[in-house]
Amino acid sequence: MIVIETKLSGVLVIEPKVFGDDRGFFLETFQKQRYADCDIDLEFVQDNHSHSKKGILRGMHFQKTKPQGKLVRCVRGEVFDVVVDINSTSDTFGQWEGFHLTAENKKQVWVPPGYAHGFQVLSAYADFEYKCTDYYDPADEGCLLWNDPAVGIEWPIPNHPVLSEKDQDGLSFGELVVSDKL
Amino acid sequence: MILVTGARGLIGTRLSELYTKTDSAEPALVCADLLDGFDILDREALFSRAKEVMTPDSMIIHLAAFTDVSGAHNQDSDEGGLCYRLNVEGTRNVVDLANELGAHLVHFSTDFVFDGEKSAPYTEVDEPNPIEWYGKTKLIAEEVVRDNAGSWTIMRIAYPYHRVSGVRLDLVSTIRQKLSNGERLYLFGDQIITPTFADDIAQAAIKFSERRLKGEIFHVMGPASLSPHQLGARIAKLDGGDRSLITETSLEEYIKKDPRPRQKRLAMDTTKFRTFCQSTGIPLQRDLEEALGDCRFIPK
Repeated sequence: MIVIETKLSGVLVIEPKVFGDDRGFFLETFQKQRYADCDIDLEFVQDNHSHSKKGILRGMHFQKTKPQGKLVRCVRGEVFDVVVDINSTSDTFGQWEGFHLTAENKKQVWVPPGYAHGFQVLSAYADFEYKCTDYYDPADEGCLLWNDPAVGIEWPIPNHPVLSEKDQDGLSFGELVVSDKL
Repeated sequence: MILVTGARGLIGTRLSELYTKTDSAEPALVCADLLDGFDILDREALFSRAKEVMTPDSMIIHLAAFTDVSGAHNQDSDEGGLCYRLNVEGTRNVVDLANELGAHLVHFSTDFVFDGEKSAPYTEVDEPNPIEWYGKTKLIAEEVVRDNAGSWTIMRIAYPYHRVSGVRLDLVSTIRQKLSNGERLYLFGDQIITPTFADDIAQAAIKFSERRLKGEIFHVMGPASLSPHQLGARIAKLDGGDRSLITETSLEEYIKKDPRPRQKRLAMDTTKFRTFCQSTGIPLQRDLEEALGDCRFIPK
C-alpha cells in the first residue's frame, strides 16, 4: 500500500494494494501490524456505515473530550472528504484539507484524534464506512459549521447542501475557540 | 471626562448604562447627543458647548452617524445630503474639536467600507472598497480621522444587536419578534454577516478610550460570521421557536430585482481585537448563544 502524508500533521491518505482480475478484486482494508507501521496504532472500537444521497453533507464532527481517530473510505459512489485541524497547539490549527474518495480509487483517509471531519456526496448515492478509535458519545460531540468563512472549505457543491438540523446549527470556528468548546 | 456623540443610539445607550455602573473615580461620561443639544453639524455651537464641559484630559467617543443604509442609497453621491454631511462633515468637526482640546478620539466605523467580494474574513489591513453611499461616506470619515486627528482609534463594527430590544429593532430583535408573533421570515442564505453584541462594543469602546491606542484600527465584532438564515435558525433553536417559519431566500436573486448594491460576504477577522481583550481582561461574549441568552426579549 502507498501512504501519503498531507499538510495536516498525522493525517494520511492510504492507497491500499488492490488485487484485481476478471472475477473482481480483493484488498485488505485494515491489517493491524501494517497500519501500526504507519503510526496508525490506536485500537479501533467501533465500525460505522452511512448511506447518503447526492448533495448531502455530514459534518464537521468531532468529540471534545473523547476524540475519535477515524479510518474512513467510500465503498459506493464518490465523496469529498474533509478534515479540519482543531488542535489549538498545532501549527496548522484552523486549516483544512479535502480528498476525493471513490469506490473505484479505494483510497482511505486516516483522521487522527483532534480533527473535525465531514464529507459531501458527489455521486447519486454514496456508502461511507469508517473505523473509530473511541465510542460515539452524543453528549461529547461537537459540530463546526460546514461553511464557516474563517475555515473556508471549498466544497464541490457549495450551494444548498442537504444538512441535518444538528449540522445546520454547527458553531463557527471563532465561537468554538473562544467558548473553549474544542 | 468622556464626551460621547450619538449617545442615545443603539451602542451609545448601552455604553452609558455600562459606564455609569463603574465607580465614581472614573472620568464622567457626557452624553453629547443631538437631544442633549450637541449638533455635530453646528460647528460653533458644538465647540462652545463641548468646551463648557470638557476638561484637559478629555476623550471623545464618536458614535453619531447616518446609519440608514437604504436612506443613504437615496442620497447617492449627494455631498449636500444628510448622510454625507453627518458622516463626513460631522466627523471633521469632531476631529477638529478633539484636536483643539488635545483629546483622544475613538471613532466608530463599519464593515460596509468593504465590498463583500472576499470569501475569507476581512482583516484590518485589507483594502477598503465601499460599493454604496453609506460605506463610501464612512470610509471618507475614516480618512478624515486618520489624516487629521492627533490621537485616534478606529473601531469598525457590524450588525450590532442590543441586550434589550428597543424602539429601533436590530436584526436579532426583528427575528425574535417575528418568531414570537408566529410570522413568516425570509432570510438570505447566501449572504455572510458578522453580528455583534452591543455590550462587547460598549465595553471595548470604554477600554479603548482609557488606553488611548493611538493610530490603530480594530474589527470589533462577534466571533461568528454566518448567513442571516443560519442566524435565524440558531435563534429559533435557542428560543424554542418554530423553525418552519423561516424560509431561506437568495441575495443573488434579490439583487436582480433591487439594484441597490449589497455586500455579499462580510466575514470579519477579529483576532487583533480578541488578542487585545484577552491581554486587558475585557470580558467578551463567547458565542452567539451566550449573548442571545443574555438578551432580554420583550415581545410586542
